[in-house]
Amino acid sequence: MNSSKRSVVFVMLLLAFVLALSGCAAPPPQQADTGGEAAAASDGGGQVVLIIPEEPATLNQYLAVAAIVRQVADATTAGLSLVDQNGDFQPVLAETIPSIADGTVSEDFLTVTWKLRPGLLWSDGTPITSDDVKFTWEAISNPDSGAVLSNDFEKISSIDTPDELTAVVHYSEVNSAYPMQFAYGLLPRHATGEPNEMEKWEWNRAPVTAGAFVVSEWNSGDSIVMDRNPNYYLDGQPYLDRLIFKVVPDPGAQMAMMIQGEGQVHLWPGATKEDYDVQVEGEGQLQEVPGQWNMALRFNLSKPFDDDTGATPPHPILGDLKVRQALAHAIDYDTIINDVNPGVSPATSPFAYGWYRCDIPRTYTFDQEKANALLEEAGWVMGSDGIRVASGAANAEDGTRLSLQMEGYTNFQPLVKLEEALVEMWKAVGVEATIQNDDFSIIFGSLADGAPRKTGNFDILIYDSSLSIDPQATIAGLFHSSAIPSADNPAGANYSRWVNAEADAAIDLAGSTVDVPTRQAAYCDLANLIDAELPQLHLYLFTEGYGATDKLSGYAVSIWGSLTWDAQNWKLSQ
Amino acid sequence: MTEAALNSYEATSLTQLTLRRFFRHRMALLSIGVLALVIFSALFAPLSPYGPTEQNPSNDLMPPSLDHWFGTDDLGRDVFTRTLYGGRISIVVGLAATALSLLVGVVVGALAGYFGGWLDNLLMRITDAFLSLPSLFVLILISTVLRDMPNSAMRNSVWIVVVVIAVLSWMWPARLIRGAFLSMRHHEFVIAAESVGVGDWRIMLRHILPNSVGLIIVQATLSVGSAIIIESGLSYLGFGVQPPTPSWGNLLATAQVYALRAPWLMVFPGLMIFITTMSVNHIGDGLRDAFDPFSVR
Repeated sequence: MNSSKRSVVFVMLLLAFVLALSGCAAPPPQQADTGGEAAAASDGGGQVVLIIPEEPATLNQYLAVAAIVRQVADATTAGLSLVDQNGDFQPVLAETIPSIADGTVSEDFLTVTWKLRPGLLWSDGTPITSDDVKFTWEAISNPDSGAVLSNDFEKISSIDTPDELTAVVHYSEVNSAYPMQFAYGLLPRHATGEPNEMEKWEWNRAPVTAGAFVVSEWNSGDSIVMDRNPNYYLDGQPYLDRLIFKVVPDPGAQMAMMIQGEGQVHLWPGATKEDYDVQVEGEGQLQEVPGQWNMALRFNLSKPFDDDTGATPPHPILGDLKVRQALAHAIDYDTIINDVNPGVSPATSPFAYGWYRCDIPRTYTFDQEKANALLEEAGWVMGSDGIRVASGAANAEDGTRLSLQMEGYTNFQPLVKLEEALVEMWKAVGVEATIQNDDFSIIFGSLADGAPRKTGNFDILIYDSSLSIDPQATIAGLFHSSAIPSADNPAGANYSRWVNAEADAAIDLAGSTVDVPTRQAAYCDLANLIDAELPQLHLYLFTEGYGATDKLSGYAVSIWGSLTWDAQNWKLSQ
Repeated sequence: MTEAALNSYEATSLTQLTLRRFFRHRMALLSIGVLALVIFSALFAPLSPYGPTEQNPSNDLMPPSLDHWFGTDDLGRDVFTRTLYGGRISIVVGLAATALSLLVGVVVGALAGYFGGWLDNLLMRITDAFLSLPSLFVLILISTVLRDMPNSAMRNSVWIVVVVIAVLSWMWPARLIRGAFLSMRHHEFVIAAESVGVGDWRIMLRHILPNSVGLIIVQATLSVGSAIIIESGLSYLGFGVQPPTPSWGNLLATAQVYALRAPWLMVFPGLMIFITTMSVNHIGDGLRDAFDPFSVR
C-alpha cells in the first residue's frame, strides 16, 4: 500500500473515530460522597505529592506577593498562633493565646505577653527562644527588609525578653489583630542574616524551620521536596515522611496526574466539583467549603501610562463614577452565578464572611437601560460600530473610544469564562473590553518588577482576593488613601488609587479599638462607601478546596488556612 | 532518432517541467483542494448564523446536534462557528510564523554553511545560545518589554505572536540548512561556478539554495502544525490570541479542562489542525518531488 493510500485509510479511520466520539457523553456525575472519609489510615509514613500550578519565589511569607507562597510555606513554618477551620485562634509555638483574663494582655491593650512552650527546637536543633520573636519584629519592621506583609509590626514600639521563654510586646497603638501578630512564622536569628538584606537571605528558600517539614531539595521549575522535621514540637508528628510539591502549570497535565494517581493533592483545580469528581472518579474528589476568595473588578481611577503611580490625573474613562456605575449595571449577575461560574455565592462587598461580615444589597442591579443612560449622561455616545466614543466626557478627549483592557491571571478557566462573559455584557451597552491575562508573577509582582497594579498602568484588574481572620491590615492596605503604591511606599496596595476621607476615617476607627461591634460597624460604613464610589466591584465568593486522594485523611479544608495549614495531621493509607 | 522526431520534440522549460511533475502528484492536488476548502471556510465564517462570541451560558457543553454541528462550549457558544473563525488566525499564524522562522533560519544557516570560519562559529554559537535558552525565559523577557506598551492592540497583535513563534523556532532550520550548504559547498557544480568567476551570493542563491529547496519544504511542512500548537501554549503566559477571539490553539487549550465531560471540544479543532497539517505536508511532498532534479516523473 503506497503512502497516499495509507493516508486515505488513516483519514477514514480518524473520521470514524471522530463520529464515534461525538456520540459519547460523559457518564452522569455520581452523587458526591459527603465527608470524603478515607480508608483506615496507616500509623504513619509515606509521601504525598501536591500538585501546584506555579513555583513560589520564596518561602518567607513576609516577602510573599503571590498566594502560592503561603500554600507551600505553611508546611515548613510555624508561628506563635494560627486560626483553625472554625475561625478560632489556637496557640502553636505559644503556650496560650494572650488575653486580658489571664493578665497577658494589659488593660489598655498596649502590652501583650507571649509565653513559648518549653523545649522548642528549630529543625537544626538550636533552641527557639524569645529572642527569635524579637528578631522577627526587628527584621519585618526594618524599612529596608523588603517585607510586603507588614502585619502591623510597625505598631510595635519594643519587645522585652525577660527570659528565654517570654516575649513582652509593647505597642505604640492598639493592635486589634494581636493574636495574629506572629502567625506567619518566626524568623531564626541564628540562621538568617541582617534584616536589611532579608530579600537576599538563603533562608528564604531553605528555611531552618519550626514547622512540620523541612526543605530537603529545591529543583527550580520542577519540584520542592520537604522531609519531616525531627524536632517538630508535636511528638510523633508529622505522620508523613515527605511532601513533594510538584510544579505543573498545565491544567490538563495536573488533572492527568490526579487521574493516574501520581498526585495526591491538587491545589486550585479550577473546575467545579461536578466536573472534577467525574474526572478523578475512583482516585479522589474535590473537597470544598464555602470560601473566602472574593472575585472583584478593580477599577483604576487614575490615568495609566503617565509615569506617575499616584491618584491624579483621573483615568480618562474610569475616572468618571457614572461610567463605573454603568459598567456595574451592565453585568447580569444571575447569569454569572448560575451559568458562567456555577457553584459560587454572591458577594457585594469585601466583608463577605467572618465576624466582620457586612451584608449589603446589590445596588447596581442588572439594568442595560440604566447602563446606557448613565453612559449617555457621562458624555459617551454610541459609535457606528456599536462602541461608544467620547463626546463631552469629563476626562476624555472627544473621539476617544470607550475601550478598556481587563487583566487577570492565566491558567484559571473560571476566570477566563467570567472575563469572556463580561466582555459580551459590556459590548451590549457599547463598551469595548479586551482581555489580557498574564502570569501570576506579572499580575502579583512588585513595583520594582513593574507589575501593572503597582505602577498604575492598567484599566481594570480582575482577580480574587481574601481577608484573614483579622482584616484590618489588608483593608487598610487596599483602601486607605495613604496606601497608594509609590517609590516611597512600594508595599502599598490601594491599586485603585481611591482617595476618600470618610473611608480613611472608617478604616482608622476600625483599627483603633478591639471592640468588635464598633469595628464591624466601621467596616460596614466602609463597605457602603466602596459600594457608592466603586473603586472595586465585588462579584462572588468561590468555594474553596482542593482535590485530594481518597487515601488521604486527617486534613480539614479551612478557609482561614492554606493548603498545608494542617499538614502535620495528614495520614496516607496504603 | 529521426529528424522528424527531433523536430517534433517540444522544448520544455524548467517551470513547465516542475509544474508537470507537481500535477502528477495526486495527493498534493487533493491537498490543495482540501486546504483551499479550509481557507474558504474560514473566510466565509461570517455566513454562520451564530457569532463567534455569541454566548448562551445556559446551553453550555451540548454535544453535536443539528442546531450546533460541533456542539457548544462552556459559554454556550457554537463550536462550529468558533472553529471556522479560529482558522483565520491559526492558518495565518501557522503559515506566517513558519515563513518567518524559515527566512531567518535559511539566512543564518546559508551564511554559516557557505562562508564557514569565524562567521560559522559566531552564527552557530548564537544559534546554540537560543537553543539553550528556556522558552519560558525568552517569553517572560519579551512579555516584560511588551507589557509596558500603552498600546494594548499592538501587544495583542497576531503579528507579535508570529514574531514570538519565529524567535522560538528559527534555530532548527538554521542548523539544517547550514548542514546542507556545508555539504554542497564542495560539490563539483559549485567549484565549477567558482572557477568561472561566479560571485558568492550568486552561487548561494542560484546554485546551492535551489538544491536545498526540498529540505526547506520538508522543514516548512513540519513547522506549520507545531506553530499552531505553540500559539496555544503562549496563552499560558498572556501571549497569543486572547479570549474571546478564537484560534484553534486556544480552543484546544480550553478543551483540555473538559476533556472527559465534553470530548468534542478538542476533537474538532484538533481535526482542523490535523487536516491542515496533513494537507500542507502532502503539498510539501508534491513540491519536493517537483523541485527534485533527480526526479524521473
